[in-house]
Amino acid sequence: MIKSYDYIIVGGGLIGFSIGYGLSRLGRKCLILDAHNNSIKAARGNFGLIWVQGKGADFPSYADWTLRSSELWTDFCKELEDESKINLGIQKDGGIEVCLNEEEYNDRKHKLDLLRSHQNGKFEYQMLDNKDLSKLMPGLGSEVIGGSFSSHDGHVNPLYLTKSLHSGFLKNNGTFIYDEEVSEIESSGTSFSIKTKIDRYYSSKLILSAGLGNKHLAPMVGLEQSVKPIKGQILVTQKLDKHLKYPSTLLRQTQEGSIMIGDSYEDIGENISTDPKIISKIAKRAIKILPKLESKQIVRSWSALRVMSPDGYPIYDQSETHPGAFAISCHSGVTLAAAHANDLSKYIDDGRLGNELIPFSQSRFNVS
Amino acid sequence: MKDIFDIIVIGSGPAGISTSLTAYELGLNVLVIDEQSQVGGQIYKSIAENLDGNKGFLGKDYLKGKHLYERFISSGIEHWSETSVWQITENKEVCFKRNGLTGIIKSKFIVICGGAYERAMPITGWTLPGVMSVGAAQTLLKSFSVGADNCVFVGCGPLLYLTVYQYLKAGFKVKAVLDTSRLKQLYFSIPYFFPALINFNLLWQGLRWIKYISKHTKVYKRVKNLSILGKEKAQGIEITLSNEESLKIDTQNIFLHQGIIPNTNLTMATGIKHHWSQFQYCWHPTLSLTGESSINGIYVAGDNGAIGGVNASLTSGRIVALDIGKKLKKTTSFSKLFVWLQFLKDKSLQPFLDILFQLDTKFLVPNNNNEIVCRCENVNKSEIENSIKLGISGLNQLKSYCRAGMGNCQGRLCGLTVQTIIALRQNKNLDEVGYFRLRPPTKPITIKELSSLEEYSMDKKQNIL
Amino acid sequence: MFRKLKDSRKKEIVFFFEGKKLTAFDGETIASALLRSGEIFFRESKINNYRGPYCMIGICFECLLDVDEMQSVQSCQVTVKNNMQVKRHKVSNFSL
Repeated sequence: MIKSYDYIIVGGGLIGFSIGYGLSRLGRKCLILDAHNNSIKAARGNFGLIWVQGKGADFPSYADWTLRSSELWTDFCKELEDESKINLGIQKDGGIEVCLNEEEYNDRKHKLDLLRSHQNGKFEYQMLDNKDLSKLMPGLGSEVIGGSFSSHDGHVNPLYLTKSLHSGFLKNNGTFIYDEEVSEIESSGTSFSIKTKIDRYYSSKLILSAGLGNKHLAPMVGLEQSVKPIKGQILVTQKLDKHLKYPSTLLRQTQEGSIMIGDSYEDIGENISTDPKIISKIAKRAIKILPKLESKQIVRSWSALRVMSPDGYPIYDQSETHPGAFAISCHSGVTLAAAHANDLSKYIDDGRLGNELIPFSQSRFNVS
Repeated sequence: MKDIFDIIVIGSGPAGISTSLTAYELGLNVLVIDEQSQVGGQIYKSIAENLDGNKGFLGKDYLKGKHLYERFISSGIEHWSETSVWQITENKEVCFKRNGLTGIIKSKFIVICGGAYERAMPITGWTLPGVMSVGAAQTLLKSFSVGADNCVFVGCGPLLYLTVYQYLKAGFKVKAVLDTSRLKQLYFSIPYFFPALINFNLLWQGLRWIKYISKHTKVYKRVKNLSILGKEKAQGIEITLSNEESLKIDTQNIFLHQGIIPNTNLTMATGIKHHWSQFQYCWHPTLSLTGESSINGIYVAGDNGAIGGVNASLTSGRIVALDIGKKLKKTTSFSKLFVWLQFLKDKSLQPFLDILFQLDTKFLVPNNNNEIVCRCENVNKSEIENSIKLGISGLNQLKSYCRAGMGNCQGRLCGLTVQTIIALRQNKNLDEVGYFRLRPPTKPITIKELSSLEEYSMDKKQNIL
Repeated sequence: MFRKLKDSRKKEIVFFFEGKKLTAFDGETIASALLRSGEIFFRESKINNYRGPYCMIGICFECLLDVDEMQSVQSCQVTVKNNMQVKRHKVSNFSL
């Protein structure tokens, strides 16, 4: 039996599943190939923010794309929840960035002003002092100078998001195969032949969404994806009564009641070990923001690797030499899920990335 | 960081005591860290309070711990009690919690002696208050002379028979013992019986317990279809007897047991290599003959390495300490010969017991789809199976899809069940399925405790000790 | 119900569970003292309403209680002290 598909998607993380879901919803026959249980998965370490504020202050196309996805999120979530019957725990009434000192506060204000000016007023935010921020975040520590609030932001359970995309993908007759590692990609001009350690699969189009794996996969279809791992560590407390209405980039309360505290930014290669000195710093910062957190127990910690490009922004590319091959790398898999399942999937199906995605090509790093 | 001690021994049960005493006698600088307030571990629990020997019902073997305890205490080995280790880092630093503070300390060698705990037995109704493990019953008896009358013991294995024996000797009324051991295992265990005869005294002792139990309480053998009754708390248990008749027993105290498994949360979170043991139906850290793990300088001794019982734990501690002593040029390998012979003797009983009481997965996977598997997050069997149906690549993805193993106990109670369900549904071997990726902190610490983290040095001693 | 055999430990310590006055023996853990007093409902749970101690060696986290200022304590690992105020652990009471 020849295993032939319209699309083969390499990588079953948030990006692969978002696009797989989007394409399968259009009636395309899709296969997602995913690696082994023990491989490094960025999707399982996601903090769960749907985040707009501050993103793309120096890259307007990214700010637009992020805002677009944020706008799509509410309908996208409803559709996913209806279809999968999984409660994603979404809250999209706004989010907070806390500033612990003058300098952080001023940088923040500068960044958001810049963003607002690019967005012609479409992006809204407020800078708040400690007193006003305390109204949004009761129990705020006195050391906090203030912070920013934006109504575009929110959060969602990233694990259930993956699960609901997975389940929706299967309902749309998608095929998911795990424990498969791609070893070779051949192209005949009109179709792709994907060789794994176990089997061989065929498709007319190919999408590479393998996170850090894209680095070695992309050259097989004449593309380049210069991504590297950036480690982030997260702490999770026991379940508490619902307390935090809004998420912030350092802490958020999940739908089950745990407080998630993160996240570090460590450029140390493919290492996912827990560094006690860094999680201790995360804990210190969390106490400054919410002093009453100090008596709460940490039930677990984890670290994951972000898929980071040289400028930190996503890379969207399609191959000139291997028509029908696309490669996508980014670290905001939750925020961009709605845009990936909707706009991006349609572009891919039309065979051409939209104009707004042209600035995201890897070629931006090759300009000397 | 500087090495402050030659060896840090984690745990002060039989293996920990024996490792530290041997190392101390070789002239090594030893620190023993233990969670409990007193040395002894689970086997010699509360030995310090039972020195007067008026708890004869606990048996002679328990009272042997008295001698070890006294040697340990009089040695003056540095011993931090009520201190838990929550991480061993990549650089082999030990992170601990004590007195509401956390610290990091380094030594030349680390010996993990975390002991064992009981495998879960998720039968219908096992989450009802009143249902406890057999080890829990024994802990209450050893520590506080506390027990429950009209209780029912369910399961099989040496710890169950010993505890029932101790219960009866102490004067508690045991309503029934529901023995789940299988007759066919008796045949399979015959080849292992002969080497086990070297420990004839222990075999004889086991037979004596069983004889005593049969004489003093009702024993039902080869029971099946166990179901604990009750809505808010345990009210009784319903079973099918070997003659296919069903029986209902009223009781509010039910003790479950299906053998013990190594406490591998710390060894796994440390990144030590493990392998699956089908014999003991659990994961074992992969160790060299002298107990060294896949990480140079980190050793595992006692039941934490593989279930072997108290005597094997004591000897394995000596072997580990002698090996470290040799590396630090404090001893020669010759002195080990006698210990090795002793170790072979102590290990020769276990294979027989492993086969005789080999786990029946019926008692690890609930037959009722609505029964809770993960107690912490209230995840039942059908939720786990539904996640498997989506196509999952292992325990980590399963955890992320249904929360099994995500709670306080970090999968200690549901891990083997989840692993077994995946293996059954995906038709895979248990070692292929793998286990949860465990992460520090392996013991809960508060945000404040974590924020206080400091490198330990001798002059800062006062702060944390 | 659990009971204690006579042994050398005598001293009785007074503590309170959900406002009710109970006694413990010197060195006894909270979980043991409660079980002896017939208290078997410890932490609140969506299934079976409450959970009680299961392992007694600090593995299972089913015996969680709020003890004085400390919330969510493994009561099988903590010794009773004079006048301790002990309550069932409920997520709804556990806030910032």
